[in-house]
Amino acid sequence: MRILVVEDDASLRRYVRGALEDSGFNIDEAACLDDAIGHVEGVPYDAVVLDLGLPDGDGLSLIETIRRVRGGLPILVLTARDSIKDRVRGLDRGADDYLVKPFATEELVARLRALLRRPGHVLGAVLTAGNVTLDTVARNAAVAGSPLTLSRHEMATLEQLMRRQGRLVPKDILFDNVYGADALPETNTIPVHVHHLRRQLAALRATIEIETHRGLGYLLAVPKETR
Amino acid sequence: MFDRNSLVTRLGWRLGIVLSIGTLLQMAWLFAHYRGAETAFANAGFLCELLHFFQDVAWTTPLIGVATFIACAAGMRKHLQPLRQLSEQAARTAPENGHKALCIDHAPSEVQPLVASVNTGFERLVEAVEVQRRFTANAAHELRTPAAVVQAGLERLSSSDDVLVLRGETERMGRIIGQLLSLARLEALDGMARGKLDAARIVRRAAEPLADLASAAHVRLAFEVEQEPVQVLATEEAITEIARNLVENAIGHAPADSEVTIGLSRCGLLSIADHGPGIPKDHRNHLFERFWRGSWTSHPGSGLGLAIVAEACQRIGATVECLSTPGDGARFDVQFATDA
Repeated sequence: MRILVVEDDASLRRYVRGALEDSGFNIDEAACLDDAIGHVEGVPYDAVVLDLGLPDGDGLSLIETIRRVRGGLPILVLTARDSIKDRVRGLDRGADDYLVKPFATEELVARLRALLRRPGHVLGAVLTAGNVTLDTVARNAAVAGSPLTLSRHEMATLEQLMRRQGRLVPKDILFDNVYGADALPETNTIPVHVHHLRRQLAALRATIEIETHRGLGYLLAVPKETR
Repeated sequence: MFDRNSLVTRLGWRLGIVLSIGTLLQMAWLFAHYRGAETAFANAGFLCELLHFFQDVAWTTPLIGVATFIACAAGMRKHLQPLRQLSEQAARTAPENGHKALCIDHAPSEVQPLVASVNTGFERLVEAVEVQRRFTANAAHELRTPAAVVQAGLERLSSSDDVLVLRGETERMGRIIGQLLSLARLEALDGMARGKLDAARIVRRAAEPLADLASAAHVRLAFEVEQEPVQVLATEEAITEIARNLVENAIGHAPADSEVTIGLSRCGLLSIADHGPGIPKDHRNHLFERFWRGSWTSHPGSGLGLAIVAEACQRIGATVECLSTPGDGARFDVQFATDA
């Protein structure tokens, strides 16, 4: 997996590079806007980590360039600006996720993996969380090799939770992704699916756990050492 | 030549009128009496007449005195009214409310220089507060990248006990930087900019990203909303800061395997409750002070979260209250404004 890190602070760039390389990514570095544009145009990156405050211009303009050159390339923005206005502006311009400085590199890696786990990206085909794997193409899931027998909706629910593992999946977003945006709310049987999933996962000693946050949504918790 | 606004001119006019009327009445009496007495006291002479005059007229003097006093008092009262209005206006002014100059037009001219000086002084004060706020914001902003370098660097070191301590403190520093910026932004927030918003949507969006924090602390969040939408008068930023900081605070104090509930009633009352140790009564007055941390808790907070909540509430005209039974958790109630 090849990642471009665009950051003008040399020390931060070095540490981020080290942390990402330890997690198995290949890293290219760019220190300014010009350099970054050259890289993006020449290399088929899997994702870009982008600092917004660059010496030769605003990183937001780079997002637009990237969207023009490589439509679906995941962009994770690093920034010192964190007001709601800044956040909305960044996401409106096409950033996929937002991390405010200072950040834990562990969080950076987790967010980057989450972006790469989206459909159509490097980690998007076979999802793993703890000892659970889910093949989104063959539509099967297994715990440490033993297959789970899941209905279509249960599979879809588990897939959504695994794509965003460690973070809350809001219940409305989960519903839209499992049933489609046009489905009637009455058809919502996600709590039942989650109940089934929990029972099967527990029976096969899965290391992941599905948490319910009432009124908000579900979160797939992965123990740290197995993430 | 005559300054109509002067207190002296105004009182002078009134005193003059009262005294002139008094004198006219006395003159009239003298004239009438002198003509009537002409025959009876023809030989008594002018000195005798003068004596009679004082004997018969002297009784009016206290009356004239009282009349003068009443006129003066009423005049003073009336003409000092603008001063009283100015005082009220001045009492309402505070640097954080933004500066409205005291109205100088109706002030008596004797106090106009004073009002002008107060206005100038206040402008300087507001400027100083603004400079300080901007300094805080800039300092916090500039600290973000170095803090990120330190944090990322420490994470690259193998974890010895020392490194673990440093990591914890660096994380705390990062949180404080973020909260200082939040405070500075809220201080710049114009309370007049508030509009009708759906609190349910904003509180939910603020709580969702905190689920991973709750999960790491083995705490569950629960959002209970009576109806949707819940219309309140606020700004999105203020609601977000209030909800985020109260929920973070609750997660920090909640014991493992407990629930933090976020309740929102149809009349705009946001209640955030945990099942932690609660807050002793004598600590509750200090809760919302900046950098104040309770000695009864080991929670490694920055002491800024609740100060942010208080600031945000003040900005949008909401009230915040802490209810707690020690040993049975703490609950924070925020009542949003719902009508203009």
